[in-house]
Amino acid sequence: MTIETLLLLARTRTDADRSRIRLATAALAFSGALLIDAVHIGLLGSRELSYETSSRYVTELGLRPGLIAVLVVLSALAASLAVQALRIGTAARDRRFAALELAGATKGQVRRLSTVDAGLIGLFGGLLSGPLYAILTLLFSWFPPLVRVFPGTSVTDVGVWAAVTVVLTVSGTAIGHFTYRSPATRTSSVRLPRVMGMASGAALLVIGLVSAVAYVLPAMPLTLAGLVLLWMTLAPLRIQALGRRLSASGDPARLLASARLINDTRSVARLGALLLGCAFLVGVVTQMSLEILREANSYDLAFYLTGMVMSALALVLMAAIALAALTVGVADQLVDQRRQLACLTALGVDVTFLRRVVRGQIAMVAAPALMTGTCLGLLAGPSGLATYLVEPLPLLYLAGGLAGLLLLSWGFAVGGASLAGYLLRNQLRDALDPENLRAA
Amino acid sequence: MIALELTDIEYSYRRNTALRGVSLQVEAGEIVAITGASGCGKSTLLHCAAGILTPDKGSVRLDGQDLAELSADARAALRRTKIGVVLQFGQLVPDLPLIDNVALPLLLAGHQRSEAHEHAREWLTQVGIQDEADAVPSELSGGQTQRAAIARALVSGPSVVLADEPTGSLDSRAGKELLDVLVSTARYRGAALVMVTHDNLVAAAANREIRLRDGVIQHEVAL
Amino acid sequence: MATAELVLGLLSAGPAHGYDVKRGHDSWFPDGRPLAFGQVYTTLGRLERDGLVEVVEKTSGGGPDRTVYALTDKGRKHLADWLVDPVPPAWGSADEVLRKLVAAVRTGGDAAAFLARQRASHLRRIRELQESPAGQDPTSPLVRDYTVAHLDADLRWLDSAIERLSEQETS
Ligand SMILES: Nc1ncnc2c1ncn2[C@@H]1O[C@H](COP(=O)(O)OP(=O)(O)OP(=O)(O)O)[C@@H](O)[C@H]1O
Ligand SMILES: [Mg+2]
Repeated sequence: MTIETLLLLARTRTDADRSRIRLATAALAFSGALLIDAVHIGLLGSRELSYETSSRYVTELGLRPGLIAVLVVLSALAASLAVQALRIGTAARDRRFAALELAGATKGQVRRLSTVDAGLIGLFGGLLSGPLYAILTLLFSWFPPLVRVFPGTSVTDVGVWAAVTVVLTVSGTAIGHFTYRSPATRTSSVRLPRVMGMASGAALLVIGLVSAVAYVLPAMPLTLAGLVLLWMTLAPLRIQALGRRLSASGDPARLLASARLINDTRSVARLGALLLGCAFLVGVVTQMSLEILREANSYDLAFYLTGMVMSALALVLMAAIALAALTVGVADQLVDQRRQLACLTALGVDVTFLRRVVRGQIAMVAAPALMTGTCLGLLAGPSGLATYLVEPLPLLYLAGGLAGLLLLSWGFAVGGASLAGYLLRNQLRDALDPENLRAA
Repeated sequence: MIALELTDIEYSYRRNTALRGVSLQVEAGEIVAITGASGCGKSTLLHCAAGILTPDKGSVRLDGQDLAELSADARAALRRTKIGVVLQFGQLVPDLPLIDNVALPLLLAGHQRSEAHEHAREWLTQVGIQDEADAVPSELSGGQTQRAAIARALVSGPSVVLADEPTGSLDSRAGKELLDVLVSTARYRGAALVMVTHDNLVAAAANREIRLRDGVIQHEVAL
Repeated sequence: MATAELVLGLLSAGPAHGYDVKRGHDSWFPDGRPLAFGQVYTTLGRLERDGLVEVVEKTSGGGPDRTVYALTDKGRKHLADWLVDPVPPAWGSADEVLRKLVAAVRTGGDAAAFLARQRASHLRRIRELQESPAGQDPTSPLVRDYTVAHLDADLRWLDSAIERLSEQETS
């Protein structure tokens, strides 16, 4: 295979593929921009910055390591989203690879295509991360100094940008290489035994919650890991049950939705787990904010709350991207099933109805994950269960926080699903077009 | 010389057994028609011969080379160079222009694009769709897709051509034209041609008819 | 016409009167034209002259309807040879193919093998026709198309006959 052929075949994509790739590129660019920021702050060393131009999170030397840690965590979350977006096995992509193998492409060649594909995404994400960093810096400079967590641009940033680009390209390539699964061998892929996943998830969760009484900070990642593991093993069961219930319905559009849910359980479950993670952290942040609000006399109120709100916003952004990934999956399904859907037109199915089905399909996955995540985050945060035991938080606060979070996460899921339905309206109309009856 | 030799092939899908011991030898230059009722295992047999499916039992030999002894990569290379396959459904790469689709075996083998295109264009002309070279598969009619598939099967000069219902979605006139391309190419190159077909006019072009029923050979007659 | 061979087939189950032969024929081909008595007796007479059947019993009165015929060894052999031979594919050959098939099934011959050979012979004929160009005059291509289309129709019927027989065998 010549380089030209490799690039030709790696670049050929369907529309659904394209949105998947745009999503991955955007997530990587965001991840890269945060990384540049982290390195920039790290390189400041013990240099003083003016309070006039930068946020106190940056200017105070003692706070810098904390900020860097937060940035790195956010960057990692964004990157994991990119990985997720890359792994969504769009049906069109599978079919393309299968057709290539039929034409005599070796497994290695197809894997190389997937690798080059992901490497290119890494490269573009990296290239975009520099300008994105500059834009974010500019944007944040319009806000009050307290929120200016992007401490300006410098010449060294260019070097960092180049380094980040290289890192992202290399990791993209690695991801593409290692996450590639031949469509032919799909069924035989090894899976974590369900019982083991469930047991270890539950164990982690219990250890995390119990140890939170004594060691708040190290306990949290344990709790989160346990939660995500448990979710990943249990969610497929729930989704399958849901799919089966739908498939028993006599409504053809629901039948189609159920077929996709059942076939694509695992990637749906992974995205659900990601949403759960984000929601958990939002819950934690909310709980910390509540704690600060309770001690309302603190002179640092504005300072802390700003930090909390910004973290929460970043997490909400992540959740939004995760929802977008779910939406891409649904869009792909629409393209893939456009022939069946077109058949439904004859049965009197219209766009409004289909939109309702799509909305339901997204909300069904997102709402439980978000609601569970926020509630548990609120309960298990650093001054959560541990402190509730020692000094019960006024019930009003807790109940108010819980109710608010539940409502917000439900609203986010349903609103996101409606937005997705709205954004997909053209695809839906195209999918129902009777002309599709001719498509392969 | 025996170009293709299947010995005692058995193949089961998860829920049903499609082949129960089928043996078949095809000489170079010979044309064989495989017929039989729908669902009797014709496509499965063809897929086994092409190395797309690995039989549960029995062996497939291509020019004396046992497919089971080859690595997956070597099998893929064989599919690219020695075997030309025309399938019943979906084998063109979606969103890839026809010309690249036809040139694919050459491109994968490392030929330059311009050179591969030159060959591909010749074959598109042979099968009568040179005007659609830049269209993508979803823009083609069923018959045009089938022509493209045949062009792609022949482009690398294979010594065994395997075709599943090669004229399935064509009218009888177009079907005959395309059949003539397949048959005359195979004769000219001395390639073995195995066609699965429901169409008696296609079967009539063969030297031998093999009829399957329920996964076994029901009868075999020279024509 | 293959009436003579059919009569041999009808006698292969055992000696019979001319009347039984006629009735047997009509039940083998329920949708066809009934066999005339006159034709039964002339055919039997010709077969007896050729030594393919013999008279085994003549009851009182001695009219033709009182005579019982049976197959000779020569007749049996003639019948078997006829059943093995595929019909040369041409116009109107379908009737003959049908006669043979019915006779083969009814007399316990190898119908499947016959059908396979018949298919091959039809397919060969189609190939010959496809390979040689039709004449240039206005009607030759029409005649050619007609022949090929009818051979194709015969082949489809042969196909379904093969399926049907295999089904009967397995059930
Ligand atoms: N992917 C599959 N999974 C399970 N069963 C299959 C699969 N593909 C084919 N079969 C079954 O195997 C048997 C043989 O199928 P095959 O496709 O070889 O038939 P065929 O002779 O090509 O039929 P047709 O003439 O309709 O194309 C059928 O009973 C079919 O239902
Ligand atoms: Mg088939």
